[in-house]
Amino acid sequence: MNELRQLARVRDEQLAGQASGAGARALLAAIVVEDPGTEDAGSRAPRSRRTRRLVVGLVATAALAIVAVMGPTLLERDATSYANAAIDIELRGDEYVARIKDPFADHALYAEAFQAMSLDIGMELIPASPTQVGNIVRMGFAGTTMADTLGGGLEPEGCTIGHEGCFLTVTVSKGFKGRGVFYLARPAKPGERYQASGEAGRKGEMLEGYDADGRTVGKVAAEAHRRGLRVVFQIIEPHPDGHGFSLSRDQSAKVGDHWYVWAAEPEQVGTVRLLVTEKHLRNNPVTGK
Amino acid sequence: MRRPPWESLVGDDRRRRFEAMYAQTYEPILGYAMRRCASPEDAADAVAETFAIAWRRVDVLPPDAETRLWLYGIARNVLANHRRGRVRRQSRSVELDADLADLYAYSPEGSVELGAIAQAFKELHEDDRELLSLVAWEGLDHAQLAKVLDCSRNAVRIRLHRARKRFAKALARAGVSVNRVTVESI
Repeated sequence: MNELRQLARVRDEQLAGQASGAGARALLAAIVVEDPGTEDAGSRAPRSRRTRRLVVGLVATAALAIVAVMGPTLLERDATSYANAAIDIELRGDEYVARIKDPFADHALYAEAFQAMSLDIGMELIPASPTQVGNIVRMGFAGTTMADTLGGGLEPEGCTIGHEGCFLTVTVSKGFKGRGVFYLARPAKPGERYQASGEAGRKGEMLEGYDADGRTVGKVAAEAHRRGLRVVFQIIEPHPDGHGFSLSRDQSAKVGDHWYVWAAEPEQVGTVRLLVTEKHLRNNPVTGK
Repeated sequence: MRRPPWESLVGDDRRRRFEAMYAQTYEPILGYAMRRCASPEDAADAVAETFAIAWRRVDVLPPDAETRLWLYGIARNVLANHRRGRVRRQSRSVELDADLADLYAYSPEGSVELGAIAQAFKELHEDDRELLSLVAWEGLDHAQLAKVLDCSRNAVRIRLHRARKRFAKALARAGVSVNRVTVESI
């Protein structure tokens, strides 16, 4: 092996097995919920469509190496409903509808309910900024057939969690054979960092109606403080060779009021994160525009 | 519950083909991105964007033997766009980030000389660097390089020759004896 090869961070052989890992499976699941082959390449990030309410049919393939093991406890039963303190599930027509009564419950309670219906479904609720609540952030599946579908969202659609009669729901087709995993966005608790968020300037978010892009840190921070918000920074560092950027969350770094803000993102309840550079840049490094 | 119009598409054969292709090429594309991105986040973005683009072009997937090269070509453009500041924010998953953070925790042991080689390598123009990388890291031959770079084999030969010369010069400037580095492998 020559020295240039040794400069490689990793060799492909060292990545054996990654294709069946959780990261690869989650990415695949996220990509194929898109409508394929209808866009010009590069015209849009997958995020824009993925965050809406969705229902999708599933196909098992060689790419999904995990095989759901249906143990003796998962034998067919005729259960049509189940409820515990966290969730209730009932069979409505040709699908199970699970309503989450407590989005902060131990995940084991959700699993218990699905298991009682002979469904191998994992569900994790992740803290999200207000406009993201109710979205399926990610989903994964394995060992499924064409007849299997998973879906979900808010019920009734567009309602606000915390209001009476508004629930996060997921749906699973009757007779679902494989294994499914949902990551559903729930409201965040104070102090909990968002794992899914919409832009801070968007309607319903902390800096609603305010466009921070290209303004100075001093101006954006003043607006944030006026709204009673705390500000943290993520520093965008242009690479020394002039190509590309890296991001740092080092909060001890001194960010001056004259620095520039390129995006504002919800960090946690009451805190926005500003993506900043020291020098002004011709194009916004976040959006490329 | 509302069913989106694209639900009917999931039974399409295209999805099966894409998933089979993904299983075969995920690791080399992950490797390609990791070798060129300084951070796990950047690599995750590059992998996600490369496969998202491939999905949108699923109707023109090349034959199996060529998909890896085809994806290298897409990944190369994705990274070139990132370098030009067109960072596309991918909705990356926690799992992918976690996988990559683990992988990045490994870093090859550096020696002083490797550091000097790395420095000389970094000083090259990105086109030269990419060409030499595709040879040394992805192990591509002239014909494969021609496919990835969408040019003739002859053009590859000439560009490679020039890139090697410039690399040798950069190494000499950095005080690394040129004959220690076997860039020529094809």
